[in-house]
Amino acid sequence: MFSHRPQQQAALIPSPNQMYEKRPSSAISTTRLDWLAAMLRIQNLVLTAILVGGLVTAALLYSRSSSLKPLEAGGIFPKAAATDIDGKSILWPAGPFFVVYTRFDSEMGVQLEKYLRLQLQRHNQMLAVVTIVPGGREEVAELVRQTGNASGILHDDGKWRKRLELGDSGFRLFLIDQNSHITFATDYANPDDLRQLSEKALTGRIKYSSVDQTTGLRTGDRFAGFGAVDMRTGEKTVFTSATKSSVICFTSHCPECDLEEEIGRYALHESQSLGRSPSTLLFSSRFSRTNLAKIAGRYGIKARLLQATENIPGLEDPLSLETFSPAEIVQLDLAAGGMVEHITYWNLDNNKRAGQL
Amino acid sequence: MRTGRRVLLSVSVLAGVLACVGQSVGPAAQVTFLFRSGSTVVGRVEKFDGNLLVVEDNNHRIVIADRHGDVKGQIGSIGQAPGDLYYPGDLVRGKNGNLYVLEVRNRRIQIFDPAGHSLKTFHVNSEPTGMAVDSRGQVLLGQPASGALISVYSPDGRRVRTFGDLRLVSEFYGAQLLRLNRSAREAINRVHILCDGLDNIYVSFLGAPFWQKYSPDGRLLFEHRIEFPDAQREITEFASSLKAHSTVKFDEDQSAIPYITTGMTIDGLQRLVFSVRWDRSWIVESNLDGTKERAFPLEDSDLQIRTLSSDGDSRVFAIGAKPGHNNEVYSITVPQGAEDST
Repeated sequence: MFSHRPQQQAALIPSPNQMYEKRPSSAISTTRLDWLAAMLRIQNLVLTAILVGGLVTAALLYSRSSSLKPLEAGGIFPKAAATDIDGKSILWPAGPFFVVYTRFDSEMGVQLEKYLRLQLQRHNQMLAVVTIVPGGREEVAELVRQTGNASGILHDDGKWRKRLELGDSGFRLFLIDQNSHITFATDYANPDDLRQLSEKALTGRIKYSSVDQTTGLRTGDRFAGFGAVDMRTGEKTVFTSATKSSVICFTSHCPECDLEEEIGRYALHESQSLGRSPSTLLFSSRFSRTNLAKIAGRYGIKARLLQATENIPGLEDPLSLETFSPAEIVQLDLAAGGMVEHITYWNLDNNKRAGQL
Repeated sequence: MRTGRRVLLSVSVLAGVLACVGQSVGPAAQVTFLFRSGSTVVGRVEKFDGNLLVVEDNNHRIVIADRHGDVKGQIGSIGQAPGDLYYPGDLVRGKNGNLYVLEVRNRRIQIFDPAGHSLKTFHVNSEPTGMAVDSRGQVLLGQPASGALISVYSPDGRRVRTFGDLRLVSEFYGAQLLRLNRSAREAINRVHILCDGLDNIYVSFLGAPFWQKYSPDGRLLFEHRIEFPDAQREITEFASSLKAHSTVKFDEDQSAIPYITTGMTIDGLQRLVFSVRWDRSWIVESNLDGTKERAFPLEDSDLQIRTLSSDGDSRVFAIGAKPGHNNEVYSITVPQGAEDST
C-alpha cells in the first residue's frame, strides 16, 4: 500500500532519480496511466538529452572560439585559389612574400600600406605583399580607392579568416617562404619591421637605422613645404605658415600614446594659452584619418586639422617614419614664414604634460 | 585568508607612508654621458666581458658595444626562429653567464649562452613586464594577468608557481581612487623584479613609489614606500587630480598608469638603487633591508631615466632621454654614505 501510491505519483511527476529507476519488466503495466508515465519518462529523457547536448555544444563552440589561435610560424600557408578585387586570379608569389591581413583604415593597416608604397617607390627592395582585407568586394574596392593602394588586394568574405584561423584578430602579418611555410607571424608590426624582414630574406643582411639627432628639427629651422591633407575638407595642400602660429605635431611615436586622451587634452588647452595664436594639429601619416576625424569631432576641436601625406620633416625619418623626437607630441611655435622659434616636447615638459587616466 | 593579507598589506603601506625609514636627501648624483644608441627604443644595458650589451628594442637585436658605443657585434636579428629576436624588452645575465632575453612581441623567453648561441626558448602567455633570474636558473616574470604579481618558470620553461598579492590603486593612493581598482587592476601591478645573491626577491611598482622584498620562496617580508622629496606630493597630486607627469600603458591593460619608478638595480656595493620621477628624476638608494634610504637629485634635471643596471661599485648604467634627444646611455655615480644619513 505504502509503496504503491508514491510510485504512481512518481510516474506522473518524475524526479531525476526516479527517471533512472529500474523496474522489473513485469511491473510495466498496460494500463493507460503507466503508458502515459512511460511516455513522459521518454519525453523527459529526450528533453534532458537535448538540453545537455546543447549545453555541451555551446561550451565546445565557446571554448573553440576563445582558444582559437591564428596560424603561427611553422605552419603551412594555405595558398588557396583566389581572385583580387578586380576579379583577376591571384598568382601566389613563388619566393618569400608577405601576407598582411588588415583593414586599411586600421592604424597598423594605414602605416604599413603607406610604408609599402614608399619602399616600392624608393628602393624596390621589398618582398611582394598580398593584402587581405575583410569585407565584400565592393566595400574593399572602395577602401582601396580611398587609400590609393593599387594591387595585390584580396577581399575576405570570411573564408580567409577561417583558413588563417584568425578568430577575433584584426591584424596579422605573415612571412611565407618558397615552400609555403610560415616563417614569421605576428599581430604587431611596425613599418620598419617589414624592411628588416625583407632585407634579411633577400640579402641576409640588415641595415640598421641610425637616427642621427643632427637631422632633427631645431630652433631656427624652417618648418614648411611638405604635403598634407586638410582633414575637414579632404583637400591636398602644402604646409605653410604665413603668420605666427603653433603647430602641435602628433608624431609616429604616438601609437605608444593614447590618441583619444591626447586629443582630449589638447581640447582642454585650446581655449587657454594655445588658443591665443592660431594653431594647427598635424598628425603623422601613419594614423587612420577616419579615426582621427572621429576623435577630433567628438572633442569639437576648432584648430586646423592636417594630416601629413609624407614624413613630418625634421621629426620623422622619411623611410621608416621612425620619430627623431623623444616625445610623442611636439609643439612647434612658428614665426611668420615657418621659422621654428620654440620647440616643446609634450611628454617631457612638466607644465604641458598633465596626464589624466 | 587573502582578505586578511590584504588588510595587513594596507596597514603596512600606511605604516610605510607614515614611517620615516631613515630617508634623507644627499648631493646630486653625477651623470656621465657614454653614447647615443642608434636605436630609438633601447632596453637595458648590461656589462659583458669588458663590453656592454645594449638591448635595441626596435632593431630586434642585442648590440655588443664598447663604452663609447662602438659596435663590436650583435646577438639576434628580427625573426622568430631560435636565435632571432622580436622586440626584446629586457635582458638579465644569469649566474652561469647565460643571457635571458624577454621578447615582448614574440611572447617568449630566450636563453643564450655567453657566446650568444640560442640554447632554449619558451613561450609565456600573458604580457610580461619585469624579469629576474635566480641562482637556480628559474625565471621570474611580472605577469599580473595571471592573478598574482610574479610567475616563476622553471629553467625548462614550465610555470611552477606564482606569488605576490595583486595590489589595488586605492591601497597606494587612497580611497579617492577606489574607482580605478578594477580598470587598473593589471596596470598598477606592472613591476621591476630583481634577485640578490641569496635569491631574495625585490619588486618595485612602476605606477607607484613602493617596493617589496620577498623571501626566495615568495613570502612577503616587507613593503616600503620609496622615499624621495616628491614622493608624498606625487601621491597626493595623483590621488586628487589623476594627473601624472608621464604615463605608461601596456597592451593588455585597460588603462595607463603614472610612470613613477622607472628603474631598479642592485649596485656593486649591494645597495638597492631606484630611479624615480615626478617633476624631475631622482636616484634613491637603500640597503637591502630597507631600513636606510637616501635620495639624490640627478645633476642633470632634464634627464628622464628609463632603465637602470649595475656598472659595478657605486656606478649604475642608465638609459635616459633628454628633450631633443633619443635614448642615450649614461653612467651614474650614486654617492655613498647612506649609513650615516638620518
